[in-house]
Amino acid sequence: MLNLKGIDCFYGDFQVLRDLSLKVEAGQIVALLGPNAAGKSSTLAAISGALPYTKGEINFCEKPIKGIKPEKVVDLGIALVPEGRKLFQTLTVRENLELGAYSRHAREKRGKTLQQVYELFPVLKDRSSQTAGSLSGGEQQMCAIGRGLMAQPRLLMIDEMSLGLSPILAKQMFTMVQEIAAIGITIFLVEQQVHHTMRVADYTYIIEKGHITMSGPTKEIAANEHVKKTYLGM
Amino acid sequence: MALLTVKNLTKKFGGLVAVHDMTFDIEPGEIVGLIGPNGAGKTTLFNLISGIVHADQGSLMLAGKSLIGMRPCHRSRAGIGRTFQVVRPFDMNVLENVMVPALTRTRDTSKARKAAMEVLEMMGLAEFATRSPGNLTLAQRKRIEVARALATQPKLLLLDEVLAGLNPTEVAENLPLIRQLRDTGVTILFIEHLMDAMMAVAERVLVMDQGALICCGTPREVTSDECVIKAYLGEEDPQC
Amino acid sequence: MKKYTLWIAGGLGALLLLLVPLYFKSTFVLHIYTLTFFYIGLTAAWNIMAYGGNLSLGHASFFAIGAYVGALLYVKLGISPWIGLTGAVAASFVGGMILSMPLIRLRGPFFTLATIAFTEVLRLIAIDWRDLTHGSAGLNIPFDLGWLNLTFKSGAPFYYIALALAVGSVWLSRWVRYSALGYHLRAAASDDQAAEALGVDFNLVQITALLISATLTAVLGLFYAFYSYVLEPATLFSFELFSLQPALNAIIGGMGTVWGPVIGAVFMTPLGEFLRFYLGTIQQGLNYVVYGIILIMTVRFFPGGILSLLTPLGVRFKRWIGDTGDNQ
Repeated sequence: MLNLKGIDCFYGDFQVLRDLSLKVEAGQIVALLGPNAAGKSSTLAAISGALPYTKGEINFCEKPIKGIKPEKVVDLGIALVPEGRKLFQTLTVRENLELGAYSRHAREKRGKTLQQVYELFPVLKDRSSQTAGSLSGGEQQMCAIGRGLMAQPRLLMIDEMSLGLSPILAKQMFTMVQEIAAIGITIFLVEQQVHHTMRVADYTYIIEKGHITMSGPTKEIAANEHVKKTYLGM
Repeated sequence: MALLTVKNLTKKFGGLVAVHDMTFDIEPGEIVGLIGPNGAGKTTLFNLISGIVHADQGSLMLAGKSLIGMRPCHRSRAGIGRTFQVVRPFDMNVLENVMVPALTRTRDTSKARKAAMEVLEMMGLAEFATRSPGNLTLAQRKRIEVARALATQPKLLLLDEVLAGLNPTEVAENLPLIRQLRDTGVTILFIEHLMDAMMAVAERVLVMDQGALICCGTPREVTSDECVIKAYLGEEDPQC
Repeated sequence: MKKYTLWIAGGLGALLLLLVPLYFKSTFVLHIYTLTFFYIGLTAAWNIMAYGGNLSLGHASFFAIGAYVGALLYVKLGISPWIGLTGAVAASFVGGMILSMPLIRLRGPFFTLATIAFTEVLRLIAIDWRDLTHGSAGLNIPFDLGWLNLTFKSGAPFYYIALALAVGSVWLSRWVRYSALGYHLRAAASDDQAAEALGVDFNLVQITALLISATLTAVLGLFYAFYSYVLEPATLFSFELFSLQPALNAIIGGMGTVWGPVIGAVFMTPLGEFLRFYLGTIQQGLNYVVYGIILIMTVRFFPGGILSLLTPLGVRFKRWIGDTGDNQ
């Protein structure tokens, strides 16, 4: 579905991604794990069109998306739930969600998608007229994911979903991700809570210093000694 | 004498009771953890102690001196340092960010620059001194928050989820730093959702739910408490 | 070693500026230079508040306070303006204390509105207190030559006085920028709550900056009064001339930086005089249309001001002369 081939990417003089290649297969939950500052968020930025790359290409559903503006990338069916949620704090939950359905094809189905999101996250329906700023951390994260879903994506990318969530909420969120995948949306996760992520992901990539150093079905990766030591804290 | 004494502390926002009748002490040199569900009032408690919001009722004392009515800047100078959960770097480079609090302890900019550089070195941020915080990762920006709080030379350091954005191994690597800080004479109260970290460094854990203190004890006692498991940890083992 | 190149270049520039009055006998040219120096000083003074994120549109009030106090002490009591300076500083200090009340209570545009209101109140007092200020008719400074009276035959002495004031103001604003106060002001401008939590006394630093800015502006106002001989409320309290212009200069040059105000004033003052002279005769107010266009272009294309365009050049120049100082 999504295919990155040999991506090189710079912040000023600093190379953040080097010859990065990875694939996300349709219908799967794919995780991208790695140490801090390894280039995880940059990978997401490159896919969503927010960060230009000097070399390599990205294909989405067999079509090249290099040089396409971020808002057009959303139209193609790729939605990003950014790190730190980035909700419009003074708008209501419903307004935040509706803004997610900005592209034309998403706007036509807005009412229906909104019902789906409310079914998935009933608490958002209860809070629909509250401002996003007044929500608790977990509710805000649900709202951010809901907003991503409103764009009717085929691929949903989530950056640091569990950040700042209590253990019980983090667990619930990962279960939620499995439910979203079950309705046919492909998921690309960037996470630091490695234990939880490995519980839900079908396929895992390990990124170190801007380069993919390891990949495979999650079970194989989880059994790897280097991964255990470097990421699982065992 | 306790370093921090909190008695019957209460804060309401409109109809919502954010912090309800909280009473606890923190002894000098302790490392105390603070956990609780999202929205339990942990950050509000930090805001009350650091003076960002004022209490409706109750008393707050630092080493026997009342903090009630004192502005945040005066509480900082009295020895309360804090970080913000949502990082709030100033619009200046990393070194200058740390110089700002250092300059409340000395008016001499070259001394402050030196002091700030020492803190950056301790936090492993020295190589980023002239970079803009906006170009750094979240975990690095969290470290800037800690560095700034340390540059105020606090007696009591309030850390709000400073380990978020790190994977389990990186968390483990950062834990000695917290102990090292305590060994330099800083008392620490920290909010963290990462239970591994809490278990490893906290000597005592306070648990909040819906604005109230529901449980207090060693990490082991707290994590086996029925209420805490139900409200906060979830049924299965956090290690999966 | 090569750091001295910068000092030599600066020294040469200063020497050229000192020689200007000897070559240009035209009073118009000297006037433009003198006015530019006054505006460099005013903009630098205004900018000290901008370090803390506060936009004043009421600096005409402090300018006029300095002018009136100095002139009245001289005209009514015969006190030399050099001694009158202390009075101007004291009066503007009191004015600054009054304006500090809205400063610590209001933020952003609300404080800016308060500065306009403050100036308007003082302007009305100056117009209505006829016994003291001669109202709208204006107060004339008697032509009594002498250094003590700040009254000269040629334009050259005031050229040098204004040059010295400009250098002094920029030096003071630079000193503030790199002092503890400057760091605290920038922190307060960036995030007042985080700054307070780190021990920065928000109210104290903002008030200190206001008082430095206000008294410096009053000093400039006093000298300007003796430069222009005539004190009219319409001119001294003029929103366009002394409240808006310094703000405009700073924004166009580079607000919150040391050299931005200098560049802004050097660029805008001669241009302003030129536009007033040529366009003002075609259609009144046409010069403001040009100002508006320049301002919009600046904010749209280089929001950091002209200085932000020059900075890359400056970095290259510093690298070329081998200066690696970490200031700026």
